[in-house]
Amino acid sequence: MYTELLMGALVAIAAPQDPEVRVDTRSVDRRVVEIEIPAIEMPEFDVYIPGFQIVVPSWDWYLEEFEIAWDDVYDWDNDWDDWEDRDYVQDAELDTTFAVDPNAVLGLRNHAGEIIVRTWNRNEVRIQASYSSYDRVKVIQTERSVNVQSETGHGHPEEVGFELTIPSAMAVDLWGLESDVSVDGAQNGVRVETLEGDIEITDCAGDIQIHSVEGDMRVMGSSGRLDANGTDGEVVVVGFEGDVYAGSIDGEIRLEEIDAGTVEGKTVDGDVIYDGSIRDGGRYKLTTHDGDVMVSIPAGTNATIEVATFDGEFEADFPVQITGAQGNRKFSFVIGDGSARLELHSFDGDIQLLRR
Amino acid sequence: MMLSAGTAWMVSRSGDAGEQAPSEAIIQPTPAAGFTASSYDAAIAELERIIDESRDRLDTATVRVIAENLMIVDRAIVQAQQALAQDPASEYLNEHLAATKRQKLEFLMRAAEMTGAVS
Repeated sequence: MYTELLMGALVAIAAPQDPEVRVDTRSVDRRVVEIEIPAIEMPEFDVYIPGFQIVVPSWDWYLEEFEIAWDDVYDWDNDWDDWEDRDYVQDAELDTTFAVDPNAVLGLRNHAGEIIVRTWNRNEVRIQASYSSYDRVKVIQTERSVNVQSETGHGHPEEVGFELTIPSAMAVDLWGLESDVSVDGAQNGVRVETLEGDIEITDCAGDIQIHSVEGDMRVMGSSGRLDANGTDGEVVVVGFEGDVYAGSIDGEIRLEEIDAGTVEGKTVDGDVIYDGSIRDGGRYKLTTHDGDVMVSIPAGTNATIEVATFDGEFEADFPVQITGAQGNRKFSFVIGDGSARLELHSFDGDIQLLRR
Repeated sequence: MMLSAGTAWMVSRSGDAGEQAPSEAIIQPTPAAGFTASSYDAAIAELERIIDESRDRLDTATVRVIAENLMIVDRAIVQAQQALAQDPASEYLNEHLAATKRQKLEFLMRAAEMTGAVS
């Protein structure tokens, strides 16, 4: 065993790092452990033994706590000439459960395939994955993190479906290239990035950052601080306590049942809808280029409201007294003592203000 | 001005911005703090170059989504520029143009980050 490890180390030191093997280390609250290895840069590397995979972590992970894992079904010495002719079926499965520090960080990187994260009240992580035997799943556990990734020996892995069950206190950091992602119950922060795929966050708390280039994003019944930033897809937040930033390029922004002191919702092509609290002293900015802005405010709201549009109309279902007008594009008015600030802008759409 | 319940007030119906030819000479967008208009444009050009170089690593659907959304933002920028040409003193239009450019910059940064992660 140690011989293989040593050989692996020598090979790894001599060889360039494989970027596909690098686990995303941007996890929240990672504790960096310095290992003194004079004059040797320690890259990540793998040593493959038939039936096993030994993963030696990168320099900032505990060297003495690497995991020895599993499940290479495919014969990696196979002739690569057959690679392009491979027939993908999800004929391999992983189902493993192991103890974990409940305050550790879960990191997962998947090329394609659904990622489902649920929580339970055990200090254990259960990982279930289904994938092609041409691909594999790597799991690395350190004292403060569990990192999971799909990979293959050549090119990108095909679709790998993950279902993970984790302690609710674990922070979650997920990356998927073509992955629908759902996280339910994580209470210590969630970060999800996808290039293509929908993201759904339910009953989570903490710093929630979700980004998708193509896909809808939904956040339900959560709290903390939300940064939901998409490109081609709608952002829907229903029931959120805490500051909200929601943005898209081509998609509607719908924010309902929000209790926040700071809210920003912006899109280029789509409506922006807000129905939530307007706290005294709060700041709310809702803008679109080509769409309507619709805002419902509670009775008793104290706010200075700024309305701006180039080619739209303003409509309120209650009387307002204009106090400040800048040309014919922008004006403002005050309701109550005016302590909160609302900015409602639409270049080419209507602005509608309703009182609940 | 008092607006009664149910009143719709037309803030401006000054014509379709797309009908007007842009006048670059009088477009002076208000940049965000720390950014000049030229540094915006330079940053945008650099990010577009990075994404363009990554095209062959991306699948066609992703390239299409990025291109379509760039087109949406670019169209919004052109419309804002054309509107500003009509009303160069408008504080809102200056702010809106700068904000839309900023959205394009943010989008390109995200796209570049994601395309970089693919490689």
